[in-house]
Amino acid sequence: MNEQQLHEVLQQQFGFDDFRPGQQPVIEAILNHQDTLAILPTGAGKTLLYQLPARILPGSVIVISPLLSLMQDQVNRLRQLGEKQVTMLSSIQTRAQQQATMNHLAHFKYIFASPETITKTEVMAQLKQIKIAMIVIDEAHCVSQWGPEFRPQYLLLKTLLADVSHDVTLMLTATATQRVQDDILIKLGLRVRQVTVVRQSVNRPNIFLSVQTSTSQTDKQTQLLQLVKTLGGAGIVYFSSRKQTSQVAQWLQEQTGLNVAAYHAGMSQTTRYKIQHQFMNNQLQVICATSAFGMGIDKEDIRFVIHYHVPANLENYVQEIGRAGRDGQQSLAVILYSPGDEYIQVNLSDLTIPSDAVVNDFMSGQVKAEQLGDVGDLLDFYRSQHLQAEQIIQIFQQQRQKNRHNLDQLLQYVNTTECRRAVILNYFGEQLLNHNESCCDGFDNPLNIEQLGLKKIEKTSIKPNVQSWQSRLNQLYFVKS
Amino acid sequence: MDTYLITLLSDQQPRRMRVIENILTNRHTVTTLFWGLRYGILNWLGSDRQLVRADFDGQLRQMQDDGLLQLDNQFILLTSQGKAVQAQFLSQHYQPRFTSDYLNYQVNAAWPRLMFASQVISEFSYENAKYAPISFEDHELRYVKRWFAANKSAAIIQDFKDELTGFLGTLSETEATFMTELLVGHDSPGLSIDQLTGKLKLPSIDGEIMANDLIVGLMQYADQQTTLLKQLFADLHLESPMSHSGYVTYQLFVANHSIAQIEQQRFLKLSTVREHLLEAAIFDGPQFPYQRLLTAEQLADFDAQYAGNIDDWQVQNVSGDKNLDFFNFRLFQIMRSTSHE
Ligand SMILES: [Zn+2]
Repeated sequence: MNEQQLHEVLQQQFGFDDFRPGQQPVIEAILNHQDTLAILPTGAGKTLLYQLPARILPGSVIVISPLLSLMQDQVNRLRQLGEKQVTMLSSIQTRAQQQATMNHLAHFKYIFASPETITKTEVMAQLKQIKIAMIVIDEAHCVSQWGPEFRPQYLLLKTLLADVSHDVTLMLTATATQRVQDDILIKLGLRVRQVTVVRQSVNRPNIFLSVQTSTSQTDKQTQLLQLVKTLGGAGIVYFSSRKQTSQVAQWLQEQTGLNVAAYHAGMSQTTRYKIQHQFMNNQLQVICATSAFGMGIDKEDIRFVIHYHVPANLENYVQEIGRAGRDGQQSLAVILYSPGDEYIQVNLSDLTIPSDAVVNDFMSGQVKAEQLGDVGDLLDFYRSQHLQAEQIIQIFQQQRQKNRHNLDQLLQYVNTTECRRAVILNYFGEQLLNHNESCCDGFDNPLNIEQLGLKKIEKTSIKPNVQSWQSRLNQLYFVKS
Repeated sequence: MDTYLITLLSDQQPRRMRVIENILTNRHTVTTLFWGLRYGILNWLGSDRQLVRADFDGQLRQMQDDGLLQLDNQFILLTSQGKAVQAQFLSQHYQPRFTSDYLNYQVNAAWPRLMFASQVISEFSYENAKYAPISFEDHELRYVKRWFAANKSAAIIQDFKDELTGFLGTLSETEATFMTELLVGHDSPGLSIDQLTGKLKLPSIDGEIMANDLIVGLMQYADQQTTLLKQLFADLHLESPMSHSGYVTYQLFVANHSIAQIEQQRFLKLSTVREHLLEAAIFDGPQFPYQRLLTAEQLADFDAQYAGNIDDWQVQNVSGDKNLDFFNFRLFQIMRSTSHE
């Protein structure tokens, strides 16, 4: 297919005039059956990378994703785009439901699954019966232990790629250092030279980078309130704890009169759907969220992303602030930092990494996987791979060190008095740019919201009262008269 | 502290704290079910499956510190102050009124089902085919789509609206508003329960309770007065509140199989079959065929032996077979507990 034909497909089937940066080389490589690693920042239009080839290549597309919520977002997006033959093999299905899906596998153009599910013997056996056009590995950095989100289950995918015949493999990630990039290909059993790598810069020049230091929680709250009051447009405030998302959302709503809501993975599916769509419909101005929020958000005009707690690493940070300013307009990213905040992150990562004692108790059978939640699943997995207690302890030890190291890198970003953007670009091995006054608050260039053009334009905010239930019904179900 | 837990407590009847916890989290043991029956809280079975023990214990401790209850050897008794606070609580909070049907439906699935159906009808009414469905589950998508396809016509919009209106008209304005604002539709994702309690100035702890109760009310209404909604919820009827295995045993028993036959047919232990029958008696109340297990003579003996508060009865060994004695005793307790109502 030549370039012109490709553009015709893009226009006729998807209604876009042009590809976003990075999309075209990826799609071309895929259509030429070249395994491809796409390192594209969030908002680069990930879905199209496999949706367009899927329209052209015969056979099913398998999409592997680490988290149920990510899968649900993707599935939902495809359905919204009018794709009907989409399914998901997941742990929330009952055995019977899973079996029903498996029996009809060939009917589905898109099959979503986690690495654990897709590599089950019975699932692999079914996959061998059908024509597979493409295997898409989302969040491909999870396969690398040098990446911030290493998931050992991803290592199983090497077998999938080797045993299940398919035309082409597409690996997707938003950010990857050079080391992680190489590691992804090695761990998946691919030849580095035979894979096309498409990489877009992590730099987002239209996002001003700022860190504001405070000495107490009260100070920090005041700073947050000040920012939210002053800034116009929609924004996200990220927290490390679920509880605080709700508390601060309510407080901000009371203090500012804006519509503010909380979002975290502990909420019901329907509630999350509602909050997400209210935000996209501009019914909400600010979301207070954990990192669970953002994956499925297709909103171009998010003006600010504020971190109330320091994120765990620069990879996460770059992804999370990347949700701002997709329309190219001036936007803002702020970390609110009080010295000592990093210990919250250290504690969080200690909670998710089991201690030596837990590993030993588990391996000796004193504690069962069910009692340990997510950690239990992980330990279960290692045991199934025949690892000994000492080996597992060592893996966790390395992980702790890696987390500390990643956090240190982030703190360099927080503590620098020079250019913050330079710290990010340097970390990802990119060419440095010249700092200027719309770049960041380094080199004594304090954040000036007005100068950046981010000041709120005062409007009388219309706060619709809840309507009568009769008129709500009329609005919901439109009957032509 | 405001919590619906206070409505499950009594100032007359000391109640086992773990039984209450097990009822809320849906632990289906005969002991839990029996005491749930005695406390009159069986309908709350499985109503808070996410409940964490630390939170449950914390709420009780708080009430104890506030002088609302006494905790004695894991038994809870409301103090007179607690009784007063309970009465006040009931007057200030939503009072569930469709509880009698909580165990007859798959209540958790009902709101997502209604929201999705509402979305399908709404998008259809605006002639829009491209939208993100609120449901992810293949089963839900298939069920609702099939329901929609089977009823699809120009009239479905008005009919759906009319059926909802019929039920909403039986509610207070606040309740009807609460329900319609939760619904999802074209360009209108609706509000979350927390947002709604805020907007309607309802106590935040009332939200979940109210949503659950009203959807059960709607399903009850749908069964009697509607076509579309009735079909929509059809598969959410539970064959029985019993465990599945218990239900199978009970069906055989009702079809006149003896306990010994059921043991053989189902490869079950005698004690398991007895547990199933006790569970059946607890849920089936007066309809349970007690006379097939307890003779008139045994009943007369029991009546002579046991008097006073049923809670305080102690099993007496008569036959030398402990399991049988306990089975007969518990069965009699259940019989007397349910026949008084
Ligand atoms: Zn700079």
